[in-house]
Amino acid sequence: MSTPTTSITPGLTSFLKSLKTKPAEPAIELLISLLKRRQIRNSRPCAIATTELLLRVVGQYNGSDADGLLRRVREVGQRLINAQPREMVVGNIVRRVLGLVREVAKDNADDVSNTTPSGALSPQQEQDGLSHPQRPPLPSTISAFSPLKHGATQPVDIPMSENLSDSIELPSRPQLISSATSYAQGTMPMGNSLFGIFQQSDTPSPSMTPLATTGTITPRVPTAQDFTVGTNRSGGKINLKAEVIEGINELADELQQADDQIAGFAMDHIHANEMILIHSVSTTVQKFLLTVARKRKFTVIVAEGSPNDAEETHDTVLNGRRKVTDELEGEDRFKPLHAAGIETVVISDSQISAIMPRINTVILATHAVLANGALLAASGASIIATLAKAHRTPVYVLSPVYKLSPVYPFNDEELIEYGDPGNVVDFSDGYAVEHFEVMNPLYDYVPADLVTLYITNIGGHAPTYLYRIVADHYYKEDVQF
Amino acid sequence: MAGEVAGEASAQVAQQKGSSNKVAKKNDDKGSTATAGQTGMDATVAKVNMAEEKKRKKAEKAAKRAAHKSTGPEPSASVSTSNVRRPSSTGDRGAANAATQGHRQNQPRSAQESQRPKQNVQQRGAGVDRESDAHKQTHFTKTARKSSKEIQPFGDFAPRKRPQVSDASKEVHPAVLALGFQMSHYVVCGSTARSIAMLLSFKAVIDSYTTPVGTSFARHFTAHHLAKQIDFLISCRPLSIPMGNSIRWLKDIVIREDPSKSESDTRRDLNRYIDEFIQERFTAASTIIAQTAADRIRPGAIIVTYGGSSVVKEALLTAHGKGTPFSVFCVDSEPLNEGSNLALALQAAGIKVTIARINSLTRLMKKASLILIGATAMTGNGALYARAGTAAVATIGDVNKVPVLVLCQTIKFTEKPIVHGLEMNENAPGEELVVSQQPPPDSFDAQTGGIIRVDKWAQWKEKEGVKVLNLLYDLTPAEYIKGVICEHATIPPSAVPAMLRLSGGPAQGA
Repeated sequence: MSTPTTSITPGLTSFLKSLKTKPAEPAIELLISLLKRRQIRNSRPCAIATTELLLRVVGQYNGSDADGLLRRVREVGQRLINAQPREMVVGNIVRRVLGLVREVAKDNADDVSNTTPSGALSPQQEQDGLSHPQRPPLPSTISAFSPLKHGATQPVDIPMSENLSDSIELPSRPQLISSATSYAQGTMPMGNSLFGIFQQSDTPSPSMTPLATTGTITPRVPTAQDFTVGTNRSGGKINLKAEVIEGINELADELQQADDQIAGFAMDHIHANEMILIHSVSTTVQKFLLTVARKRKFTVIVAEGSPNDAEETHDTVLNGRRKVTDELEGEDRFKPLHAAGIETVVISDSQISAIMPRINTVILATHAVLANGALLAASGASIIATLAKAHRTPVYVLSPVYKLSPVYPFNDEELIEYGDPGNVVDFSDGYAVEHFEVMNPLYDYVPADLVTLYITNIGGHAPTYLYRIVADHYYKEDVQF
Repeated sequence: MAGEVAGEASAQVAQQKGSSNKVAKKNDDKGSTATAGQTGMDATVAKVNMAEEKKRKKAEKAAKRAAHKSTGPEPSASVSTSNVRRPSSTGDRGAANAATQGHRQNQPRSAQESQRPKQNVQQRGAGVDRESDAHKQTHFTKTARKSSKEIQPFGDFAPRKRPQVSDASKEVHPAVLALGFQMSHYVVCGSTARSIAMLLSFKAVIDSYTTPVGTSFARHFTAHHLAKQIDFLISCRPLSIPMGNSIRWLKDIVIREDPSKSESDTRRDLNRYIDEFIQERFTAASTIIAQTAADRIRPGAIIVTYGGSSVVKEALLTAHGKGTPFSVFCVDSEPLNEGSNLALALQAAGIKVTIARINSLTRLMKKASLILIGATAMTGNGALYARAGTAAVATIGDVNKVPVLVLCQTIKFTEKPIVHGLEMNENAPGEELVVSQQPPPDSFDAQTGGIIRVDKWAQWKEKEGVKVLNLLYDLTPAEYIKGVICEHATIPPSAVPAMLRLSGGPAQGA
């Protein structure tokens, strides 16, 4: 289950290394094969790999126009998604990058058409306000206010026209949306604001998280100015690429920081002497718990997630979690929970029902979160969530925003990946291998109504509100690309 | 003797290197035992002999189990009628051995002792100068036990201890000794199988019992002799509810035996009663239940089972025998994986079987049409007390609107109400959960039976804050159960206490 971290085994580390030397096209091929062979798997490694690859792709893109870049990114994204459709985070990252390109393109356009910033807004609003200097006139139809209008959950397929300005003829979003970003308080060092690039240097620098900057994409009514005017300006092309690259770097930062940001909310949700049930292993959950462990004593019950994750769970409980970053080689680990003074009790998944009456809080990690508020998590998670619901135990789901997918699950069966039957029936048992069918799903679909609260890096959200967060982060056009 | 020990030690080393075939090693083991027997003819106390014997047998069994695991299952007869975990001949052989050869000679004790993983860790250092000082060993064992971790938040669930032969009273009958170890190692597993095996072993106890002078059978046997057997069984694994019910019944009929009857007549009669009791309350009851349940299975049904209930197996086989086409999801869970035996039996009969672990529940439940589960007990408040994970199956089934039917003989009914899954539960040794399921072949060790890897558990033990909870049972609330099929009727779970009354109470069987 773990991503191999030695450079000998193909995996995230080796991929990131090779990325430094390889041109874009072979790198794409390499990532595709790694995804297909599951040598890069799980959300975070996939997200990191995709981000870095797209950085490369954009960096080596030779065209001059945003349209071409969009097409290029879309094409690469399509290939990656086809390679491993169930790693939804790949699609999420591609969509985020597409959104970035659109954003930059539009800012360019705005910049050309341009105007004076309005100044009387609160920092967050101002941030947005500055980037749309003129508050766009509200569209004539009231339906634009309806969240559903922007809901990426609607599989609206708007064909991309060659001309960008045609494709973004959206009703503007009400200013209200941008306030969603104000969840992100200044916990993180300020990243370079994408918007700031276009702003005068004397702009008061509001403390925006990188996420808020890159994450919340607020489409605006296009100005009359055609985008091509912007790119035709001298330096337009360089700007476009440079800014998109900057944006992708911020996205990469977001991937790095998301866990810490989520952990920032931990103290609100875990209290002294509680019994917390977690399932298999997750770096996000571990950081979350370790944050609280500095101040409070509590007990963690770990359901081992057999048969697929049991070994990794045991390893994590004993020795801590392996870090998945680019530079490490193996021995670099997070502290195990017990080293932080948290009492850890390992149980098998079958005992969940027995101990559930004693549990105060369930904390789940995710593989992906879907637009309807449901989530995919390691198989066994839905048993926990169902039993927790039966016992009225709150279920918190920790999910960085990048795992939030605009996909609407019409059929949850197709989202489930099935794993190695050898984990259930030993291959040495020839008779069984030959005579039995074996079912071993890797993921579970957990419906939204079993979840009490989603904790993302921008705050806590009810599952019913997730569609809104999704709409804030992806362009409608990119939902199905 | 010392030479023998050394030989054993070297064999052990060789084995750890070679790692491959335990069977050969085991034979080797036996050979050495024989020689040891010739040299150490001046055998000491009978108790120690017996203890050694038991220990050896147990190790053998463990090894066999491992060998069995690696070579693939072979269906065969087992202790009694039903549910024995590894269907090899170990079961009855163990019992037979126990009955017949209680007088084998002194086995090099330390070598045997070292088969226990915990001690092995510490003993490896001590290495060569292992003395076969039984008392020392026992003492050592006890201190090691004491340091074993209690699960603080579940303080009332100190892990069950592995039984020691030396702990057993000398009055414990060999058949009971064997059964005790078989139960603690899940060779005999499942409440029906355990109850029947217990009753059968009590038959052996009764057979070999002679009333001491000055007492009567009825007075002495239950109070003094049988109690010791039961105590030992409890020290191996807590009694399940049907076992408790059976014991109550047995005590009852022993008391009611006519004191004027000759002792041999008493023994003969008691044995007959026990046979009838097993027949009536377990075997025949399960046949009737199976037939009732089989009628509930519609053609094309997809049945979900959990664990390895013997009654469920019989029901499915009966339905298959009637020609009903259906398929089965055999769901089970770590660490016992009882479903594999059930799956084998069903597959052998020609039923289409899919094996899954508990993690697949939500996926497979979408296809399922009926859940059949066995019980350890039905409680007075209508809750189902069964193998850990059953409640999850029933809950998920309820969410997906799949009816849950419990197949349960009335001997498993109890008036005691249980409302909390942690009540009355049994905490098995944690190493069974975290160690046994991952035996990489390279570190295969025939000394430990191939299943338990010493270093692995040592790693767990040394981490202060880490504990392993291995509860064996959980409680399914009555609301998730659509019906309970017992031998008298199909009843709603709320009718359990009523049924118990109607059937005359658990203590009055045969």
